[in-house]
Amino acid sequence: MSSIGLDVDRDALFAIEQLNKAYARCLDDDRLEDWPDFFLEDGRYLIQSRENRDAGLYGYILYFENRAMMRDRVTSLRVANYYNLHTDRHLIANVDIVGVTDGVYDARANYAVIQTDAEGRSELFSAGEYVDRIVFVEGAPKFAERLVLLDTSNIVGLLAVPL
Amino acid sequence: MPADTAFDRAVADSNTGGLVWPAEGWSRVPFELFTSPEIHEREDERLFRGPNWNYLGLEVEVPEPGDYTTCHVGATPVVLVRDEGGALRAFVNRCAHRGAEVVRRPRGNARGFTCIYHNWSYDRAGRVVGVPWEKGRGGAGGYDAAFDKAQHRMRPLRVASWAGVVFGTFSGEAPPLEDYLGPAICARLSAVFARPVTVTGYQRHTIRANWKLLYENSRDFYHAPQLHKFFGAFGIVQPDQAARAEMWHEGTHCLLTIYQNPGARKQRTKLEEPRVAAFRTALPENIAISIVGIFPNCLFTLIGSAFSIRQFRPKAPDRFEVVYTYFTYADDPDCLREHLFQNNQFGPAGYVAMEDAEVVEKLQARIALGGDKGAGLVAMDGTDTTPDRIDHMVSEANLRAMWKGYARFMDFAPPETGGSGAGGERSPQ
Repeated sequence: MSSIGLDVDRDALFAIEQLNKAYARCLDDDRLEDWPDFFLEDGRYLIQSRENRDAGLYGYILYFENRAMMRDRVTSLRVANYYNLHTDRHLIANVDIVGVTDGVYDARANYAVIQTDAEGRSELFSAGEYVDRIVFVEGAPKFAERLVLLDTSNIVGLLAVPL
Repeated sequence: MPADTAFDRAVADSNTGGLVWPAEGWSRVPFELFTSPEIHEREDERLFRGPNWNYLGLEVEVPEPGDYTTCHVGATPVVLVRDEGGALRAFVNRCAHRGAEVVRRPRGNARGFTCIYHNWSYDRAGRVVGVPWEKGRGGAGGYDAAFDKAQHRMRPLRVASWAGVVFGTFSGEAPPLEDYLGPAICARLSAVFARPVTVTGYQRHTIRANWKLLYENSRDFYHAPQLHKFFGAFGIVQPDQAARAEMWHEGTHCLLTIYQNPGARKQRTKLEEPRVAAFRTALPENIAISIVGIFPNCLFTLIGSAFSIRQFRPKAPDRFEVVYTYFTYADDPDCLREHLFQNNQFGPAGYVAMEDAEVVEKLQARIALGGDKGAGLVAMDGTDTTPDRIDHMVSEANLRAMWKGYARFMDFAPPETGGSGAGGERSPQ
């Protein structure tokens, strides 16, 4: 299944597009405390380079396998870590459903994150793909898994805020 | 050294690449070391291409004939490959014909290598085995009779390994690897690699700062609890620990060891997911943490079940890459599982690592501001460099030892006073 053709589940695709918009806005607005709520309680959030993925290696830059780990991340960023002062701008495109099995939607989307530093200089920080498994809970889409597959496998500086 | 006359200054410049170490001694680290293009070039010549052994990879990355992996020795791109006979070979990834890149993928398996530009082909040792139109074409052209392709090859490095860790050097004057590493680091590597390991992934990281700032940071006890607040914020109580730093190779290697006290109380934490912190160490000899700095290009970080090697690749005075190789023990599935959780602490996104990149980048940006000839201060726990070992964390003696050894290998003249300067006021900047 793909959103090309007539069998597209328009309602599901629309809901997943809305999920991506809300996800981007949440991070770009620095409402990090709300970020774990996009996931199931046992949802996974993974960041992995395409280089490792293609080689069949783990090599996760971040490996979170439940929402507790995401809450820990947010707490740590708020109270413990020092990182570059910046704002993010997530650009998400090509949102698509590529399959559905037993109510789990396999979805993909391209992303680019532009970072702007404290003195107003903007740079492309990361480009890649979201590889998602999404389920609907009481009509609302939630991530069972969001894998951030990095094309930009060479991180410049550091990666603090979730992509 | 103070230079009183133009002649003295000229002599000083020819001996030191222009660097004059502050008269206060090794407790001062001139900012110029992190900004000068001349010093950057000199490091590539005297350190990375000099009589030192550079980390190339692990033997487990190239187990079969034809397996190869690419890396850098300073600025020079290098290929590590296992040949038909099982021997490890390394050569510069630069075609003997015109200098083009020959090996184009980061790692793989190959019978030989062919340059795409004019199709010169090479065996697994980097020797030329094929030259198109060598004898001409249709009776025209070709190389003359004096040309002998056997005289051409991609430049080889000497290769040696210890406990499955592979090093290379361009220099015929580098001592045997075992002597270069020294007995303590040899023993640590032998103990850590006594069990089979598996590589779990790689990570590339670009930092917009001088490479030495991060290399030095890895042995800096002083910054750890001050800069990295993760453990404190989550109430991660470390078991009672004894720390030790041993300096080798004129102070430039550093073997840092933190032992786990078996009688210590259990850790507790406010982390919702405590598996991110290491509760069990898979390391031998009751070691909780070991950081092994092998000058000039690698750092081993060995904590819990999350192990990595960082290879330093300087790109410019104010830019370098770190390539991480993550690994853990292959014979224990618990190690792999723990490794995935614990590795959230390390790397460019790590809970106890991200600040290091931030702080060295911002430091670099400050010292790069035009014409400042200032210096940093490393005078914690005195100003001398004599101890080759410290047994507590309230010291910068291991940093001073590194700078002294670095200056020696760079052939910089030592400070004239021999380092009597106390840790008092810094000169105005």
